[in-house]
Amino acid sequence: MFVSDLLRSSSESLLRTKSRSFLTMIGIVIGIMSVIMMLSIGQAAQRYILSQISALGSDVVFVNNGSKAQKDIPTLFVKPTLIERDIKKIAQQPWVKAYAGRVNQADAISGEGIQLSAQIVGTSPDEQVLSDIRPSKGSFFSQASVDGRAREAVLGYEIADKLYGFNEPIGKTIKINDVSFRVIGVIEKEGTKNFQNLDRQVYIPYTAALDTFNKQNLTAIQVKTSLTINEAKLRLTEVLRDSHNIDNPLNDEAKDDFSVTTQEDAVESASQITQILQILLISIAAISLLVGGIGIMNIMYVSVTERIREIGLRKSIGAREQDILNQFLIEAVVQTTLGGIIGSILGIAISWVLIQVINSFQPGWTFAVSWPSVALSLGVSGAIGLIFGYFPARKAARLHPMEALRFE
Amino acid sequence: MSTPRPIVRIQDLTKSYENDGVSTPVLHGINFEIPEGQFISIMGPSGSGKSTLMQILGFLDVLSTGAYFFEGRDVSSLTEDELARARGEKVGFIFQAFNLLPKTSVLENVKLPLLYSDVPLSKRNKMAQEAIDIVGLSHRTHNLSNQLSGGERQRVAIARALIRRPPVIFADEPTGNLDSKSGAQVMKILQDLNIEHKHTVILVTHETYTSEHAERIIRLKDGLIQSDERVKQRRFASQEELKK
Repeated sequence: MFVSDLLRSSSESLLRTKSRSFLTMIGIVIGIMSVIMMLSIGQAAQRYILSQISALGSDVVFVNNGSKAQKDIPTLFVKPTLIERDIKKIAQQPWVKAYAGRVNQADAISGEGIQLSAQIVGTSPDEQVLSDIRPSKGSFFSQASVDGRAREAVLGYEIADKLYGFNEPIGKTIKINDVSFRVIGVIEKEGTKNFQNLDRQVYIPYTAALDTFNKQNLTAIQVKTSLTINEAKLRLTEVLRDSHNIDNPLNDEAKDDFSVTTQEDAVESASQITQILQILLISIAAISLLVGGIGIMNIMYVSVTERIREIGLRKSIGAREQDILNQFLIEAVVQTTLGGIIGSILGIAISWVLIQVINSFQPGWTFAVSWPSVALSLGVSGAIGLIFGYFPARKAARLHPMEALRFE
Repeated sequence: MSTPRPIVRIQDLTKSYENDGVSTPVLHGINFEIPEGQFISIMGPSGSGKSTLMQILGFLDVLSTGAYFFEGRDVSSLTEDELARARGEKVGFIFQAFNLLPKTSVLENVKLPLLYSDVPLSKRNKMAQEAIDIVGLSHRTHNLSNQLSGGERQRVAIARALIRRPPVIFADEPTGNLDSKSGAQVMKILQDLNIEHKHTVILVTHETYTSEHAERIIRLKDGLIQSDERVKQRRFASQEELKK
């Protein structure tokens, strides 16, 4: 039997029962569609997360409160240990190119009779280098302002726009936690980086932030060095141990009351999480494929019973067992592969729409077709046809020609 | 008139069906030969074993004991795949219920046996068209099988049976589902195939009238041959048709 014959003969059989073939296919269509959707959206989420993290620059090292062992505990419950002295010690190191003490606090701000919620970022002038931001109006505060604990504020684009609109913001006064700050600059429109909407941030000297919120401890210290990342991590750990008087010759990270991390660590854990998430979502989608496969098998058994006389006839005109087996297998595979193709197209289309919707709420999401996963899905749908079609096809192939012809 | 070599020869053929350990004998020891080019009827009431006999002769079933030689070859030595090949090349079947593929054109139905052959694709339509011409359905070539009358359907089935030009054509109650006029047309085609195209025709029927279109009648009863004789006054469908 020629392959082209086989394909044509199978397609003709499927077309004779169009609506049933279509209904049978729907199971596979939905299964493949969900797999493609989960993959597309999962990968888009991964791309989004990674683009956010890497927006901060991969050569920035973070010093955080609490040891590495406390990594999984919410920041709120970690005892803060970083203090101003740590920043000063870091600043003295010759290999430090840029650094910023960080005091992060979400709070309401008010100005011109308007109240807004904002992310208050207590930081150093090097914030401009570390976060790659620059003022479009006025200027950023200086190291002298940090040392003098000056109440100066630099506004994110959206904050400035909402408070002052077309009016001049420079020189105006805003209140943070009932403390007055003078606006000295406005940052360019930046959008979202590292999950933070930079346009809704207000930058003030970290010293003034500690005073305003009545705190002793910093949220984190960001450092950019002239060293390699690993070298920088080692050196910073030494500086912090020295500053915190921790004797840790065995280099046991659990003993430290701080941790030094990099963007790479964040990228790694983020991709681990998204990968686990994807596996989970795909497993759920795979269940619908299994259900679709069982549907195929069920209908094929019905079809074999219905077509017993046809099978008998085919055997009476020279079909071998192998020919009948091939025919029914090909019918199943054609059906599932067609279902896979339709499912892939639908899955791609729906995930495109969904990502456009997500993107309109949270800019930065991008859509891309993952061709390897489309190829895999088509392979899987063909395999489903082979696996679930085999037993009904074998039943058909083994029918006794005479009994099949006599079947009423 | 010289005696042609036998195309079918059976010796002491028996057949019984095994079902749940119970053996039901159907044929009890049958002997006969069919010379090449003969038109023979196998007759008998239902349960006489005539259908079983036809199925064994047509490679659809295997005998229990005895021997069956087709064109001098021992059929019991054939493998399952060789039997399938023999069904495709050596014999053509015509069934009472036509057994056409539904919603499929006459041409495709007639071409069906070529699916299981080595005949190149380019030759298939021509072969099918010739077979359709023989049964006089040229004007129906592209109609769907369910648009045809019963008589036309049976003629499609005949075209399908003869497309590979098998030496033997089996017809199992071919007129059973047809009115007398369509039945006469079918019998005429079978006689033409036998006389003009030299096919051996083995007709299985329970009707005396139909069986008398053959040259020879074997009557079966309870799994044994009751009689085996030449037809004294053979009927010719072409004349019967003129009377109507």
